[in-house]
Amino acid sequence: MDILGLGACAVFIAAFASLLKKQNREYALLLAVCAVVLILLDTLGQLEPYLTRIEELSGIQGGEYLSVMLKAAGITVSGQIASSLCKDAGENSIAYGVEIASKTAVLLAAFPVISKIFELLSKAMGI
Amino acid sequence: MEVDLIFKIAAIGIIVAVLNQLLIRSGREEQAMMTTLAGLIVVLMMIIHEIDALFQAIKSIFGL
Repeated sequence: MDILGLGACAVFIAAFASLLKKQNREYALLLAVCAVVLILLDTLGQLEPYLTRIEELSGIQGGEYLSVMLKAAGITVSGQIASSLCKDAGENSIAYGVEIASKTAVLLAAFPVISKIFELLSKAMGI
Repeated sequence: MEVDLIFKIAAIGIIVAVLNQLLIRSGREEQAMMTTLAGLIVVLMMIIHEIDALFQAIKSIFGL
């Protein structure tokens, strides 16, 4: 679906959600969850073929760093979904907790690369 | 993109809101609470499949 149709659909769903927000707020949240999930499923579906091409392109240089980068992107995407939905529901503290958790997960995923960089640096400077 | 799922959820929300008001006006607050709860669970069961599909997609694409 092109971006124009997607934008119009999103605004339409937001109008539905604000309608539902008056009586019972939980349905507005569930509507938001469903809308985010469907939109991301659609976009990730379009992204899929290009990612395999990126892996081929990266085959020349070190491909291992690319997988860490992709993993970090995946962690941030899912963490961001969860925290913004929590903010939607008005639970800012839970959103903060999820953000901290996703940041540490990204740090842990990138740790081997960071340690390798430090090794290279120390070798280069002959320390 | 399955837009009809979104309209289903919106419809359930509106129907439950109307039922809620109906039950509250007729003096049965507990049934109103039960109806909202039941509607909530129905909608959650509908969404759970999509959420699972999204997380499988994220896992497979980003190699988590």
